[in-house]
Amino acid sequence: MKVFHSIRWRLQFWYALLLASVLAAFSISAYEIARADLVRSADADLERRAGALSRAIRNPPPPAGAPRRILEGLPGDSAAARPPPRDDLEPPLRPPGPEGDGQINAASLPDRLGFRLTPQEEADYGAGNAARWYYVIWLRNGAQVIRSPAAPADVSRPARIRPRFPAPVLRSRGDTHEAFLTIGPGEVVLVGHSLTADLLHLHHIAWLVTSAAVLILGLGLLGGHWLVGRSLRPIEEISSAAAKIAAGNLGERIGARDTASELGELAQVLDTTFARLEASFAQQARFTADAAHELRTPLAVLLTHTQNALAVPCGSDEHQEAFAACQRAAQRMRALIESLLWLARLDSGDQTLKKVRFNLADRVADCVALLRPLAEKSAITVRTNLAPAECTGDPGQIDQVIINLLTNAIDHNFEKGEVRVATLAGLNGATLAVADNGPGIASDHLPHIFDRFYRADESRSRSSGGAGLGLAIAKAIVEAHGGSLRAESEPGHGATFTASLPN
Amino acid sequence: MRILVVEDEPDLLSGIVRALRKQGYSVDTAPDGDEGLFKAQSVDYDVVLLDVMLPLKDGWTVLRQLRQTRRTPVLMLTARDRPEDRVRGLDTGADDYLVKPFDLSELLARIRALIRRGAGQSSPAVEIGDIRIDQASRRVTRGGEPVALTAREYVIFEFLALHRGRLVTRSDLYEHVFDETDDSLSNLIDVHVSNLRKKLGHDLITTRRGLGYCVE
Repeated sequence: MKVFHSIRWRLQFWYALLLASVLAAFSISAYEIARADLVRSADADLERRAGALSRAIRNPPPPAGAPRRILEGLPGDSAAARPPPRDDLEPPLRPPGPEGDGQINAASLPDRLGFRLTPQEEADYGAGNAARWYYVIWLRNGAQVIRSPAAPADVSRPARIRPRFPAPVLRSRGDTHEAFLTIGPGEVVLVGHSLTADLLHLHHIAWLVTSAAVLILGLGLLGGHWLVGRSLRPIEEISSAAAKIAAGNLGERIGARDTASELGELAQVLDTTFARLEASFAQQARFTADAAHELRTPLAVLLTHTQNALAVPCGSDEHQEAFAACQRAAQRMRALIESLLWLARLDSGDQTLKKVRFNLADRVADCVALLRPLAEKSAITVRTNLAPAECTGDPGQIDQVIINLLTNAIDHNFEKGEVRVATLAGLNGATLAVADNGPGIASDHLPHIFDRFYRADESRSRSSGGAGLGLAIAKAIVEAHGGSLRAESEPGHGATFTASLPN
Repeated sequence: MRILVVEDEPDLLSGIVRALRKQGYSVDTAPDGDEGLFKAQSVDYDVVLLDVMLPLKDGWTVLRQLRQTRRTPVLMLTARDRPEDRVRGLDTGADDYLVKPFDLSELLARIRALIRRGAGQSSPAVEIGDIRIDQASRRVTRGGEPVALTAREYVIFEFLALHRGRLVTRSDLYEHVFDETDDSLSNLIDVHVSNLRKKLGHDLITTRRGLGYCVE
């Protein structure tokens, strides 16, 4: 489709594509950065908490005020696991050594379940919706498991990892991230946190960003449409001016207001070109017209004197013949000058065409009657088939077309040949067809027969043939009326000229 | 019939003048607009042939200024033939318009038509009793028989016939029949009229003594 090949639509398409990609890339990277940041800060938090919890276990703080035994209310709390009095608490566990945990008997492990949590931590690990964190502590080789209320049931004890340093190790199960720290043989402190809620929040934000991006894209497209339209307007002005000039209105100019831009400069250059074109057209038309006018007066002298000399038989036969030859030449020059003036007038386009509705068949009948003596000179039969055909134009000029076509058909015919003339009313106007059964036009001459001064038959003498302007004039007149003139010919079977005139 | 030709191209002027004189017209000439206007204003010509492109004063100006005082029929001769030019010429008061180059026969026919119209007559033939004047062929017949008239006799008779029923003074005849180059004797008209009477009949042209002639 033509519309999608227009610069406007292509610009708009690529612009939209570019804007969409930029917005998508920006949104996606922003999302990824936010997500990575979320995960990283969650993991860092887990490591910190795992460390804090393990330190709290290994190094229970001395009793102060009203110490709270976390483990008292915890699930997995049993009578056997009930912690001993505070003063019985063991010194801190030694760091897990390379000696392994296999040798350590669970029973020999000190009871180190006394630890304290800050109120904030209590809230974080507590029961209910507020609990965002959980912990699971495996003690005595997993014999004793302490879970915070929010801990999922399926948390497994991590496989034994013997880190070089007692640093927390991270692991993740789906959206749940956990950090664990081996504090002794078979003793692991694990802190977990589900990212589901945070990720849900992130997704929500991502949707908002996507909507904003779509909105920005829409606004960008509207802005782009306006911008493209604005920047293409000079091109539209240029093309409409050029179209008017091509249609024959040579006085048309683009007249760009913004002359500083690239397109403004182009418009100015084109305007200058158009002006030169118009000037050269006008100059050519004026030259032809002036030359023709200047030729008219000497020609009048020639005609007047030869006709004076011929009016009264005087002088020798030779003189009379000389005067007759001069007069014939003068008459031919006169016809040629008239033809040149016709063409100059049609070229300059300043001729005002009359717009009259008339029946083409009537004009043709008149012209046929006018030219019948010429046809009879060569014993040519003129057959007419004239259907009423209304058309609009300048009847005088259309007469010229009919006469030129008829003269052409009679001149380029055999002795005792036939010329068929037909008019026909069509949907969009009238059609005139003039056909002869003469020698026809060779196919290599056919494209040129409407050229000025073109002669298809070089063997014809200049005096018997016209100047080669008749068909050019006919075509120029028909086209000035907005119609068309075509020629078809089969060599040896005559030629047909078809003129279509608008309604 | 007396005709003024205003034309600046000497060869064309001489050709036209020769053709007109051959037809029996009396012809005056002017090579430019000023002289043309002066002559057209001072003499009552039957037709003025006026070129458009003239030195000193162009054809349009001459025509406009002439129309202020005289209604002499004017035939414009021009090398320009755009429809606007024709309209302008006819609107300014020209009676006819002929584009160069022209055929002499067409020029003469138009001049005859202008003379006829100037005399208030539209038919190209005038009949007086059994005498018939064919202006196109410039022949006079009496009872169907052609009468041989000299060019000057014809012009005098045509002028009298075109002004039938009206008194035509001697000076009218001098003005319309002889041109500025004629060095004619005052009794030349009487000689021509006497010859006409011999050829066409004695009662046709009556003499009003001291005034002029009249065809009843």
